[in-house]
Amino acid sequence: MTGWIFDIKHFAVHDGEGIRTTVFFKGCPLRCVWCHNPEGLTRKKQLSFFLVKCIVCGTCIKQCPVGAISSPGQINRSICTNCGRCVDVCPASALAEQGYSVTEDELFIKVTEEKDFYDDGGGVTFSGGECLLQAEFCAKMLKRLKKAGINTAVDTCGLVEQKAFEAVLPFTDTFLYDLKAIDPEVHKRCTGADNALILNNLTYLNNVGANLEVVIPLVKGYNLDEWVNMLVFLKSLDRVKTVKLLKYHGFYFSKYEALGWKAPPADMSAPTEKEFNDIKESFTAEGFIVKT
Amino acid sequence: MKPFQQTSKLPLSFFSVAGEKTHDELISRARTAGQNFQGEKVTVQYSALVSEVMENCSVLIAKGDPFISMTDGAGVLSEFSAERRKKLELSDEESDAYKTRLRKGQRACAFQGHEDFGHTCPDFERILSVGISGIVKEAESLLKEQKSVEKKEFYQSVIRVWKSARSLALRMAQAGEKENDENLSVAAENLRFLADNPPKTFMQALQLIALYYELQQNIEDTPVRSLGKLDRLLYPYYCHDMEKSNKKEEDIEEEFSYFLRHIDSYKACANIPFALCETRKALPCENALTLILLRVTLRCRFSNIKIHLNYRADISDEVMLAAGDAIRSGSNSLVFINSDITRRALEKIGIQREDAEDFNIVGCYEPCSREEIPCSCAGRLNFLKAVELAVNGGKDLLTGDSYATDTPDCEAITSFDELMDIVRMQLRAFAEGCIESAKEREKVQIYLHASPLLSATYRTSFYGGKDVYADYGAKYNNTSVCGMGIASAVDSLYAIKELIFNRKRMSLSDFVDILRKNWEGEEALRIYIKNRLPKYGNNVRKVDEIAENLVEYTANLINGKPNARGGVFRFALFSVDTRFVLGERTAASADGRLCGEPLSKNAGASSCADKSGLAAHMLSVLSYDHTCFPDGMVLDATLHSSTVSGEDGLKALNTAVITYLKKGGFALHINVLDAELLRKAQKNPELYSNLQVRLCGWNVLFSSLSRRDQDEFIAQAEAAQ
Ligand code: SF4
Ligand code: SF4
Repeated sequence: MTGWIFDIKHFAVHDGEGIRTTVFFKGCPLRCVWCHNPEGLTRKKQLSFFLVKCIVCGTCIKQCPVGAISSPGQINRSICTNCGRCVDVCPASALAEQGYSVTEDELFIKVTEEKDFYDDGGGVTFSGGECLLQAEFCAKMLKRLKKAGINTAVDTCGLVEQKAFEAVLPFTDTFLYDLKAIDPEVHKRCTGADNALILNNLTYLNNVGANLEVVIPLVKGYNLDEWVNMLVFLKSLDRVKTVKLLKYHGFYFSKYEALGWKAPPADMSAPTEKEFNDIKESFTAEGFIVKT
Repeated sequence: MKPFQQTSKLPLSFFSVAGEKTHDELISRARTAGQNFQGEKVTVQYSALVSEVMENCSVLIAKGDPFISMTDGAGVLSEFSAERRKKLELSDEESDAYKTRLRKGQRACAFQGHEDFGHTCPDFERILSVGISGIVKEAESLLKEQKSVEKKEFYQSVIRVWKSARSLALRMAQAGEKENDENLSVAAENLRFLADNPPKTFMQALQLIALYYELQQNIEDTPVRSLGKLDRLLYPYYCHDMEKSNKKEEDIEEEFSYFLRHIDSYKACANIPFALCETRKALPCENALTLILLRVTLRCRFSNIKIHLNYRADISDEVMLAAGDAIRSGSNSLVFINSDITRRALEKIGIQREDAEDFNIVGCYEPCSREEIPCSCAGRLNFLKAVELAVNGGKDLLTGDSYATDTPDCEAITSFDELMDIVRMQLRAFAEGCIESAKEREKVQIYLHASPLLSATYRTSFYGGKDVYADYGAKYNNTSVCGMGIASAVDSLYAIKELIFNRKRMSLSDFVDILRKNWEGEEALRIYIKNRLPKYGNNVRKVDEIAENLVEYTANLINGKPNARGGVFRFALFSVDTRFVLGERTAASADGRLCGEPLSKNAGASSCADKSGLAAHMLSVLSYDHTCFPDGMVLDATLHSSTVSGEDGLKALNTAVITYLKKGGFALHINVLDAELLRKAQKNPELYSNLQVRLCGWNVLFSSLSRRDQDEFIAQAEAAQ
């Protein structure tokens, strides 16, 4: 069996406990306005072009079999077949293919390369995109990792069928569960989708006693006011002890440029220091361990 | 003594007192003294000169400083050494073809071998326990027993300089007494006491260390490159003060802060290091002072002070966390040293266990066992030059010279294995070049330098009546060779393996032509190699095994080989700033490096080639056995502060450090970057292409961000300062 991923990040320090290796699976059911990993949204392979790296050598133009590149960085994506030839020849790594398949063995070798550094709670995190869209593959891999004594974490947006969670539950040490809003309208505006299933799945994980860390992005102009609702909801879940509050930042626009996509809307911003600290304190006051 | 405050960290302003002579007069007096002893043994000459300077130099003091140790005596002896060295320089017009080849190899920076009188750690324990007058007394009684002229001369020399040291201490005390300054009078009182007694209090011990530092480092011109393990050295005096004088920890912290400020004022070349934590297995790793001294040093952040933190498995979490926390907030003055690996490396070259395990690091990363003169930077070996010669028929691409015999032309090389054989052939010639060049110099060493100060602190030398330099009098008289540019060499060899032998993209001779022309017209190929081929430092086995092969092979050529002083050679893997000089003389290389660019740094990856995170970098460096570096090695890795922010970040940093050391890493130096560096990275992305920054929950390469994103990041980093 193979998995479909777009990146493997070594020495990931903020994706769960300890030093971890994070695997980014490709494809996601949500379309968060602030998505920081746009290359993980579609299942389709994509071509990225990073202007800052290009040395304008023109090699890619000559190599493209369908003439999709008219000048460096000018890619006619409607005719590009994602054959990857330009990527192979680009000397500067200015072109990159987003999306590749890995076998279980390949991935296992890759994610256990730094096993010695996983002491102290570190391990492997599956993220994305939404890794649980490939739940069967994930379950197999997680099982294998657990067998090898490696700590596992699943970072999920929650919008998958419950059976996906059932499949990975026995082999997952921690779920990093993203929560964006409780009000369905707000959720829809932020992510393009309804949140009933997301909340149900979170409740399910709570009820079966999973180890949970809830990750809340705070984006002014979109979901900032939702924090109270989220706090109230999370208080009702006895297994949720830790929340991670992520302040919005705009350091990801280059990825949209690289994919040839238009930039995300400009009406998003980070909460002020005060707003952020007030929210943090409110969660702390309610007994949550707050990570930032 | 006045309380040490934030303002006390401001630089001290020194002024000169208690000297009747100008610096020029001092030099001319010393010159006369030197002439009076012309024809005498270098030990005698040296002691006369040193004592002349001690007796006549001016004392430099600063208001508010509770220590006095500086003089204007620096530079007098170095003039004499330079003159003497020049006289003994071997001429270029050697008739001997072999020696001519050695000279050429040295000039081309393929290999070098010199003398090194600059890396020492005196036995401070002995100095503190016996004191100045104690050494004089011991030497006087040993002198009476001597029959041989040489030994008599040795003890007379020791007595001469240590007596002068005593009178200098008294002149310093006088200078302090004359000023109406609360702190200076503390120094004066301590110096008066130290003239005739070993120290009793914490402040007296610190004062004696500072004074000795000046005597050996500046007046005698035998650089002191470690103040020793200060927690252990100072512990008895700390206990004395806590018990007898009812002092509190805060008092000790204040006193040590003052000491650091005083020592920092020396602004010595390449910092003044000291060590913390016991290295002898049978004794506890830490004592009550360890954490105090660590915290004070890290809090004060004096730029000229460096700590060697000796790691053992039983080191406390508090010490490791304090160190980690300081590192991630930008303190890059702390180096982790693995006690166990160091001991094993020293034992491998024949140093007895009890001496090996009681080592100090002198300078940057070089171990010096108890009773050892390591000459830790005597030789240099350029790994990348060996590759350059191997692909060019044994000829230097810049000079056309050859340093190994019978190297085949590159057309004749048909496989990568053959190429590796030829690289090893060059390394063999280079190692021999280092050894023979250093030995030549060692033979004249007895005419070059003596250290009656240092020799009195080494037991073997002192009780044996021999100078550590002029008589090769230490228990271990060793010489070291540093291998440099390992990553540059490995990346070059891998690029050749991949492009020439695997993909057969062009012939080796065509490729060498490209290098000869410094990549002219081949920029795309150069960038391709730099960006697209796997590099050392990323935990890629097929690359790292080349490093393993070269490093272990070369270490065997050097380690344990006899030198000309009855000791052996020791191998190291670090390059510090010498990589710039060596780089200037090294042609363009197959890793995409341009002619003249610096070689890779220390044992780490080529500049910015470590793109897979800290753990991968560590694993590459761990692919070879670190006990083959009795002269030390280091991985210095760069991280951005965002990577190690928060509780998670600190924990991860510590886990990484401990894992590296547990897996056999010799030494580790971690730099955490700030906004200033990000600005530099934005200006020169090619120099910082491996710089990672943390974005929300993950890290990205700073260079891959758009200008706008980079600007925002810099703004945030500034805000976070
Ligand atoms: S991926 Fe293939 S088709 Fe698309 S631009 Fe590159 S070379 Fe052309
Ligand atoms: S091959 Fe790469 S570097 Fe060259 S023009 Fe194309 S994108 Fe730019």
